[in-house]
Amino acid sequence: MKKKISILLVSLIGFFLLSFDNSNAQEISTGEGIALAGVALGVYNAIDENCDDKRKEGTLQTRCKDGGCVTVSCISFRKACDKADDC
Amino acid sequence: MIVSKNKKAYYKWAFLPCLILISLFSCESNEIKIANDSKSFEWSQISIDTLEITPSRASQLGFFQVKDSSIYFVDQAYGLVEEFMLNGESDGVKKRELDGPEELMGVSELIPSREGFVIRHDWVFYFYDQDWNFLRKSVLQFPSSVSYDEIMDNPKGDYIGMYELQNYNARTVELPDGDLLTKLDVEHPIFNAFISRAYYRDSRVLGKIDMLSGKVKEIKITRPASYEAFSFVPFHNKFDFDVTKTNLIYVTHEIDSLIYVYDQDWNLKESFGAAGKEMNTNYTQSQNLDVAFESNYFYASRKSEGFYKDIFVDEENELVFRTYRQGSDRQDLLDETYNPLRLQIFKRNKLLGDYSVPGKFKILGKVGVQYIADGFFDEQNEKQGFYILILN
Repeated sequence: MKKKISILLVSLIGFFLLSFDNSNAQEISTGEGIALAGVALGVYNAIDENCDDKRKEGTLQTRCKDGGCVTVSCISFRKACDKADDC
Repeated sequence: MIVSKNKKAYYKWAFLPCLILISLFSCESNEIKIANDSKSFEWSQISIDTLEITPSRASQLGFFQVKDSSIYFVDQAYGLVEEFMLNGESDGVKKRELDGPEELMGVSELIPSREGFVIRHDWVFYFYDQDWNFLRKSVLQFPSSVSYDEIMDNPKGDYIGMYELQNYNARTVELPDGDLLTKLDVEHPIFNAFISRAYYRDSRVLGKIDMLSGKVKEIKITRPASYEAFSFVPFHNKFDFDVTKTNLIYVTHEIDSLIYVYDQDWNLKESFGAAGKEMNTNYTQSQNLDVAFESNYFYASRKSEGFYKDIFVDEENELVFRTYRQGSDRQDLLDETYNPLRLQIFKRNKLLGDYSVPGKFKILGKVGVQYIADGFFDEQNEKQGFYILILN
């Protein structure tokens, strides 16, 4: 019984992951270069919901933008960085 | 009009004593006569001088600013603000980072104000009086009137809470009422320049900042309808603006040949303009977010494509100056500043001239009849200076 449940779970997770992957592949299929739209979705999901509270304590977030590592809004989809070389 | 060779020779001899005097102050002045290749013009001569300065310390990484009749050189690597007179003579270092109670961490922008000066470093504003005494500081904030979930799930152009400072070619000015006006951008995961039409239609480009609290209290002006001609042009979502003494706001957008003028109530008053010469407007257009994570697309676009850039308004003389880059086929350009730059001059909204100018040329202010422009930087030969544009 346990074995069947395990197989069912693995199947469901696999189905979910494949569906997720396909939806992103369609979104970026017309683009050029490194396909990183999934990263943006990941950032979207991982945005700390308390980032505005952090701002009040003086913590500003830096992300790669326009060729530099700059301070941005906490909701930015950009990749995090500490210095320009990270970009 | 190009000055004749005979006249040039005359000027050289006439100004020889001046040049000797200037050299005694360790400065050099190199005059560049530029050709007016426009058919209609009203000046017999337009010239750009390069006035080299010798700062106490210089890395050639910085910029100039003008306040009243003084020119300020900001060396960003050394964190210094040094004042110069119009003849290039130093009046000393006025501010250095980490010096004083305010713990200034760097200089991103130097903003002239009636009170004195404002230094912006990242999202922090430091206020000084005319003698550079520290007054106060405030942190730039984008207060939200709606919940975090609402911002994330249902972004709208009027939600202040999702905006950020436009860092690239940033400009902040003090308005007549004492508040600050700065450039904005928004990079919400589903409301941004790469994938969202709503961004081009509804996002605001200017933010009015309360000078005491640092809070953005109003966001104004959307992009023009001309952006509808493209799918998404994320590398040219930038713009520039200038504010006149009578509180008119002039805005130029990178892909649009028109200049838009707004009144003090932010209503569009008029628009005018003229297309630049031989501009490569075959813009890179995006359909998704992937290009946002690859800096090479950004750099290539800025070097090879043509776009309108900086604006300066001389309200008293009804002149508007706007620069634009033409774009270049060359693959070996180091950065955007090597993309050919030209200057348009409008009088009463009519184009009078279109001139080739140095790659970092940007008019900052006017002292007497001279327009002061940023800036000349030669890292290899460790030289720097500002430009003086004169219309005769």
